[in-house]
Amino acid sequence: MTRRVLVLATVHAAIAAALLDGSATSFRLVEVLAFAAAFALAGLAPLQVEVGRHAVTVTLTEAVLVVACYRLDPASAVAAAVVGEAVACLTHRQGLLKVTFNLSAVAGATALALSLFQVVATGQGPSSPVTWGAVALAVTVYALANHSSTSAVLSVVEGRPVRSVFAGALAPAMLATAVSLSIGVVGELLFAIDPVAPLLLSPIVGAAMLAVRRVATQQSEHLRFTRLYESSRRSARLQGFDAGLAALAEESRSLVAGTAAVCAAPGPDGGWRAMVVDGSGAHAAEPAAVDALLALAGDRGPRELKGPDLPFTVSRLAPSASALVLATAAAGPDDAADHAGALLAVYREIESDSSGNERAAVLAAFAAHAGLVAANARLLEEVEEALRHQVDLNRQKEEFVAVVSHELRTPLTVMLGALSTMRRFGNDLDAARIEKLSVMAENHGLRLKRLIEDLLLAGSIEQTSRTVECEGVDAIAFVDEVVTDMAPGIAAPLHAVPAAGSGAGPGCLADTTRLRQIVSNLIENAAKYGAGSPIEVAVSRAGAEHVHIAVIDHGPGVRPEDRERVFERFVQLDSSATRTVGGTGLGLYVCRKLAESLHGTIALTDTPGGGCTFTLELPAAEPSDERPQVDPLPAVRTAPVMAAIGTE
Amino acid sequence: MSTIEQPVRRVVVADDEPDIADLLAMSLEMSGYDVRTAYDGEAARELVLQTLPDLVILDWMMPRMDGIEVLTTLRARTQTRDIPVVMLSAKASDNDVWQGWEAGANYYMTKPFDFDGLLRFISYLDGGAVGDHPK
Repeated sequence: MTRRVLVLATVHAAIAAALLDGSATSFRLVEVLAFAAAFALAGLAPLQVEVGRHAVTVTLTEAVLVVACYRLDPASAVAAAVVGEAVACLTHRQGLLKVTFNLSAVAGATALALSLFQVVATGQGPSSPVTWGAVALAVTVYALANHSSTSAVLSVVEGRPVRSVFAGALAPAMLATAVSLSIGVVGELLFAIDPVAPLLLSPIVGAAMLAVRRVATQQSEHLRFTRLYESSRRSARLQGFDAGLAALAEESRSLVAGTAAVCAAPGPDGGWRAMVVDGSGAHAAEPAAVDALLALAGDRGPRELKGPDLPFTVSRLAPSASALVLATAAAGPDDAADHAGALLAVYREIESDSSGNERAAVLAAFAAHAGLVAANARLLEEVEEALRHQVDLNRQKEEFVAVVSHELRTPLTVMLGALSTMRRFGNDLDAARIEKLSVMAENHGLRLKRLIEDLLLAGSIEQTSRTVECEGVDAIAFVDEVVTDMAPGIAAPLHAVPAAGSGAGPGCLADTTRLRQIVSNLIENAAKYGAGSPIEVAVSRAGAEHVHIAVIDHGPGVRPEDRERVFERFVQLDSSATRTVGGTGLGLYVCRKLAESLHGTIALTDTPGGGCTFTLELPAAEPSDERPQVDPLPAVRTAPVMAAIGTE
Repeated sequence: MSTIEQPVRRVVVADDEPDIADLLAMSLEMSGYDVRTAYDGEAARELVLQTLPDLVILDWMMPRMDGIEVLTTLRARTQTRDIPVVMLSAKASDNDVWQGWEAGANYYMTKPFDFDGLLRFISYLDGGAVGDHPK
C-alpha cells in the first residue's frame, strides 16, 4: 500500500513541476510567508462534518487561495501552500507517508489552479467579470483536484473502488468549496478596499466556525453511538461460539476501520479461544498469538499501539499493519485481564495519530458488549453439548432396556415352555425328548442366572455368593484347563499358548472363580465378534511384578476411537450384531470390574494383521501347591449363545 | 379375519433362538401338526413362500430380516396374503403390539407365552375342529 500512495504522490509532484516550469516568478519572501501563515491557519482549523455517511473536511484554504490568485504568481503560491500544509500536518502529528502525500497533493492542486487562473485571466483587470469567473474556475478545479487525490488515496487505504469514494463525497465537498469560495470572494473584495478590512470578517467567521464545530462534534458523537448500536445489534444474534467470535471481530474491524481483527474470549472448555477476521475470511487464531495478545493487553486500559512496537507473534497475524487498537472487557468487578470477558484487537494499516485514543475508546465500549455476547455463545454451546450428551445417554439406556428385556424373556420362555411341554404331554414323550427338554430348561436357567449376575455386578451391587479368595494360580495350567473346557462349545478354533506341560508357568494372584469369569467372558467375546477367526489365549510374564493373559482374535477388530468405549456400560458397537449373538453391552464392563477387584487391568490393543487383543494384567505370585478348583460353568453357558451364531 | 377352509395342518415356526423354535416345533408336532422351522427372517420368508403353510408363527427380532418385514412381504403377495400369522415377541409394549397388528398379524403373543393360548387360537382358526391332544 505504501508503494501505491508514493506513486500517487509522485504523480502529483510531477504535475506541479510540469505546470510551474517556465512560469514567471516574482518571489517576495514576506508575501510568501504571510500567505504560508494564512494557509497554515486555514489547515489547522479544519471542520470534520459528517454529511450522511461521509466525513467532509471544510477548511478555509479555498478562501486563502482566492486571495492568493490575485496577489501571487503560481510558483510562490505553490510554495506558500506547501509550507502552510506542512505546518498543519506536523501540528496534527501525522505520519510521514500521510504528510508526503498531502504536500504533493496540495502542490499539484495549487499549481493547477493558479496556472489555470493565469491562463484565463491574462490581460483582464482585477474587477472584470472574466477575472471573477477565472477565480471561481480555479478554486473549483483546486477542490476537484484535491477531492480526486483524497478519493484515490482513500480507495487505496480502505480498499474501496475509486469511483464510489469519489462520487459519494462529491456533493458535500463541492458544498464546502462553495462556502469557502464565497468567504474568499468577500475577503478579497474587502482586501481591495482596505487591506485591514478582512480582519473584520474574522470574528464572524470565527464564531460561525466554532458553532459549526460544536454541531459537527455532536453529530460525530451521534454517529459513533449509532455505529456502536448497529454493531451491537448485528453481533447479538445467538450463535455458536466460534461464529460469535468471528461476528464480533468483523464488527470491531468495521467500527475502527481496520484491515484485520481478532476477538478472543474464554471458551467452553475453559481456555481462551480466538477468531481472526481478515480479507480472506474468518479462521481460528493459534494459541501462541492469543497468549501474546492477552499479555500485551495486560490489565491496562484500551489503547492504540504502533506497529513496530508489537511482538512478532502478534504482528504476524497482519504483517502489513502499522497500528493495533487493543481493548478488553472485564467479566467481573475486578479489571484483571485473566477475568476479562473478551479481548478485541484491530489491526490498521494507517499509522497511529492523535485520534488513536478515540478509536481505542470506541473499541472499549464495544468490548463490553463483546464480553456478554461471547459469554452467551459459550453458555449456548455448553448447554447444547450437555443436551447432546443427555440424549445420547437416554438413547443408550433405551437400547439397553430393550436388549435386556429380550435377553431376560428368552431364557424364561424356553424354561417355562420346556416345563409346560413336559407337563402337558407327560407320558407321551420319549426318553430322548424328555432329556432334550430337561437340558434346555437347565441351560436357560443358568443363562438367566448369569445374566442377572452380570446386571447386578454392572449395577455395582455385590451379590456374588463367594467372597474374593485370592491365591497363587499357575496361569498356564489354568488357561489350559479353561480352553479345554470351552473349546467344544466355541465355533472358532481355540487354543492356549504356550501349551501346558512345559513345567510350572508364571503364577498370578487371583480368585479362580472370578478369573474364570473374566477369561471365559473374553473368549466368548472373541468368538462372538471375531468372525470365526482362530482365538489364542497367551500367557506371558510382564516384568517382575505382573503376568499377562491375552485373548487374541483375528477378526475385524475395533477402531481406535472405540477401544475405550467398549468397556463402558451399555455400549454395543454394533447393536444389530449384538441382537444376533445376544448380549447386554455389559460383558466387557463386567470383565473390567472383575479385573479391578483382583488388582489388575484389562486393555484392548490391535492384533498385528487385524483383530483384537484383550490383555488381562494381574499381579505375579508364586503358584500354590494344590491345583486350583475351577468352576464348571462355561460349557453350559456358551451353548445357546454359540448356537445362535449358527455352528453348522 | 375369516376362518380358513381346511383345518390347520402345516405350520412354519421362525425364531432366531433355536431352543424356542425347536420347543414350539416339538409341542406342535406332539399335538399333531406338521412343523417346519427357520432361524432367521430370510429363511423364514423363503420357507413360507415355498411350502405355503396353513399357519406361520413368527418371531419379531431376527437377523437378516425382522419379523415385521417378513410379515409385510407375505401380506404383499397374493399367494401368501391370507395365511394366518401369529407374531411372537419379547417386545411387549402397546406400541409394539399395535405395530404387529398394523403389519397384518392375526394374533400377537408376548414371550414367555402360554402354549394353551396358542392352541386355542389355532382351534379358533379351524372353526372349532380341534386337533386331538391329550390333556
